[in-house]
Amino acid sequence: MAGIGFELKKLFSKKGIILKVRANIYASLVVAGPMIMGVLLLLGAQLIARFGEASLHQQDLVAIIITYSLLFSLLLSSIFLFVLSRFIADMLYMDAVERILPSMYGALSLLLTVGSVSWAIFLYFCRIDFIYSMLCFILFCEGLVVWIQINYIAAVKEYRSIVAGFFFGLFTGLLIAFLLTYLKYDVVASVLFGVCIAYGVIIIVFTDLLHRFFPMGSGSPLKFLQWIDEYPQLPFVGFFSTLALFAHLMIMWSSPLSQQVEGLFYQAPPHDIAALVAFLTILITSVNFVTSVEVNFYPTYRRYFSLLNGDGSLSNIEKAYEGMMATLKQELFYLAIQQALVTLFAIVMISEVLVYIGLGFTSNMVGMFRVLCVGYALFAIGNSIMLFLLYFANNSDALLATLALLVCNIVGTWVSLSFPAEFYGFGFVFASAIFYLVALQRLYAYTKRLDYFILTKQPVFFIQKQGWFTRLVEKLDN
Amino acid sequence: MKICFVLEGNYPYVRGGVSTWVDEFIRSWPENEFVLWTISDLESNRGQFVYTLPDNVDSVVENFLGSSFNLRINKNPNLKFTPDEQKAISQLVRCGDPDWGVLLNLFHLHSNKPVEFFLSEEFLNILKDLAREQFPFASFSDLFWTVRSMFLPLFFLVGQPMPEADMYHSPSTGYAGVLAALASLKYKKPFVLTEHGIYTREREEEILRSDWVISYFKDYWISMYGMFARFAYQRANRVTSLYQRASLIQQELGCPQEKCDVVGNGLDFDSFSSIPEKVKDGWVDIAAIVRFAPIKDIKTMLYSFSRLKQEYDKVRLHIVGGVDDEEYYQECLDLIDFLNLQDVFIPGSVNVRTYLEKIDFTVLTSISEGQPFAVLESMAAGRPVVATDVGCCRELIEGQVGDDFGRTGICVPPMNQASLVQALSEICRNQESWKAMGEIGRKRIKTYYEISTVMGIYQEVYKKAVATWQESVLN
Repeated sequence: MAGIGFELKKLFSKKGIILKVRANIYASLVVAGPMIMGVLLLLGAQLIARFGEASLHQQDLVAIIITYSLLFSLLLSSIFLFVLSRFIADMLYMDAVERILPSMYGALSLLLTVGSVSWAIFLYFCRIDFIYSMLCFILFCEGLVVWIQINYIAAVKEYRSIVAGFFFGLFTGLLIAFLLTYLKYDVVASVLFGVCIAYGVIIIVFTDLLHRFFPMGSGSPLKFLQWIDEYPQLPFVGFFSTLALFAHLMIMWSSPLSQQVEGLFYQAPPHDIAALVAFLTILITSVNFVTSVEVNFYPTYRRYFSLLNGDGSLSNIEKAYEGMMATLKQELFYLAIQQALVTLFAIVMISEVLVYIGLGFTSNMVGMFRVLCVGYALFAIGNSIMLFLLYFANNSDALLATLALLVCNIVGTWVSLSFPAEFYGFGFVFASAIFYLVALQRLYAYTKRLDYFILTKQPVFFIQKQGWFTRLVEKLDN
Repeated sequence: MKICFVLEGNYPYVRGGVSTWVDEFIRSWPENEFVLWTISDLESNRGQFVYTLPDNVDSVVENFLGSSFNLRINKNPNLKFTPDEQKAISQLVRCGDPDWGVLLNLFHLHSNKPVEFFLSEEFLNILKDLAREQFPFASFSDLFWTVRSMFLPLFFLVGQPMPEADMYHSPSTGYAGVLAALASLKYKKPFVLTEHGIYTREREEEILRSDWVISYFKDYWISMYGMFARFAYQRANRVTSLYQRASLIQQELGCPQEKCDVVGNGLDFDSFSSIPEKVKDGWVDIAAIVRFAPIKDIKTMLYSFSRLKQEYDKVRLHIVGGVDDEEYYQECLDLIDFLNLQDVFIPGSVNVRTYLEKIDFTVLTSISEGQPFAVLESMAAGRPVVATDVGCCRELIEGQVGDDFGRTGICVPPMNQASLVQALSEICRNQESWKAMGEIGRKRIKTYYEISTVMGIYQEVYKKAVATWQESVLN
């Protein structure tokens, strides 16, 4: 072909066109597991505190220190929640297991540095007993470690060991708290110490599990930060969805219901307890989502994507698409039905039972509890849909939905404060309903044109994004 | 008159037959102004001209397909097409006969970045129809990337600015042919296509041999170049080829017969005819004036030479020319080693005219050729020629109908060692006939292929082109 025509080969043999592989995302709802453990720990600690004849103030202090430590560490770690699960999934897909464990230590070193400094400052201004401050500080740091480890533990998928680890920690911690209280040590310190032990045990179990599953690893521990350049929405999706989950609690701490426990620790007992118990009712969806996705949806999803990116003819792809969408609709329907049944049960039965048992659950909380149950049910389904959006790599719409949730929750709850206390939960219900509707609409619109978004919108030429974090990592690596 | 030459992968970046022809064409017509509209592969070629541009070249508009990698495009093109436009695009993607006028408007009016089309939903829909109708069992993702790869150069090129001129001239079909045709359509100016090889056939061979095109889609790729050629042939006011057989192939590919002319290559006869006879030194010196490329089949030449060496000890082979394909060049060197060949010289790119002084006769073993300058030059220098029967080599060596000068060498089938060895050995044996054969070659060149004669014919072609163009404008 000398002299006539440029050489096509030169242009196309360079593999300028790289088929982008879309890896699957692991179900991130495992986070709900530890959260429920936290609630159980809280209840256990309360019982022990009562056993130790703690004053009401001391009981409140124990509860609020545990709540604040776990909640704010969860909030801080949520920034990396989806970034890390995406990174881990990609590394697993690329068979680069050795990169996984370093990223955990990288993320932890970043979070512990930022977290410990800011939490120490917060505690300084709190002006509570020094021992309590220390225990609160330790618990916060432990919280950060556990929330991050959960991402990795989810990839290990040894759910039985995970649950066993939790119960072992819970049991040891409560036992020690009980013994110390029995030996007449300071009740608050004893219980907090026990909780710290519980989380410490969980961390040890997890670390052991992770080191048995993943190799020690090599490469920069901050490599995962590059994923933020590639998927800039993910830190926000994680942070917004977590913040939205508690925003109404925080707003209530400055409402007429609010009481100052000590220093900067506030609580709004009727709402707090109602919300925590209502939160437990979405356990069903958390568990169902993981099993439904792993067992039913994932195989159809993988079939569709491997056909679309590989050897599938158009008619095979279209058939796989229909199969996948049918499964998706069916799974969402079942999730919603089951959640609705549990929520209905909670509204009708549980509130009565709780009033009967006591536990600080008063009859004027029943209304608030019922409203919040509806809110959390809508949230659970909306969140499942949002996770499906992440599955389809539609990070922008996931961000849109979580942002809508957060804004509506803040505005809605704030507006509800100008109504009588029975209406306080409606802000969250409103926000969750919006979250559910936005996520559902986006999922519908996106999956309707899925092949367009997945195939056609891929760049004509693949170029690695060179963002701020990529340059940072390169600098740190040198 | 301002003439725009649309050039793809040749002048002024690469030396070779077409490039030399373009250079001489421009120089022989100093009263006209020329714009070079070039298509090359990589940006690194920018300004890297191996020819000194003649004074009447006004400007060079360079396009590099590699630059399409860096295009900044809108990632969410919201392109909507009218039914006519949809039909045209769908015809284009099917390699049928699209309405190029509609496409031209589309590319230039709707978006100045046609590559965005690849990111649109319309593209996906058109692709799905194509998959259902023509590739129901092929991998859809392969089809998707194939279509993107196939049409990317075209979509990139049509999005670039088109130089304005009074006349468009392309020495090939392919991308250059399409661009010249589109520009002539846009500015309503005449277009002349003077084909040297048959571009479509050469691409076909390249694709069939390639390992980077998925076999299932090879026919599809080839049909795209067929579509390009049909458009250029239909749009051109005159179409020339170097020899009769090529003209017939053009017609087979869709060129209307009434547009066709046959015009041979032109050579500066005097500068070659003045080369003196080689001073006898007891050796027979054979030269192959070729660049190292698989299409030149230098390996057959080397095998044959090694067999010739067994008959004649005092014979030397000179392979004169640069390297087109580094890998092939290396293979040739390895083969020389393997055959333990003595007396093979590879002087690289040198002045052919001076080099021919120490040569007795020349050989050409190409698998495909148009009207090779190597043969013309050898004939003008009075050197006999052994060449494969490709392109119009037989016409050159034995004369076309009505030419009774006689034979100036031997024509052999391509890739046939036995025939080649026989021919080489026959010429080596009959040293006394060299002079007579050389004279025949000189006469043939002087009569039919002298540059001034040929340029006169091209000027006639231009006149005819303008005349038919005026006619079409009036109608």
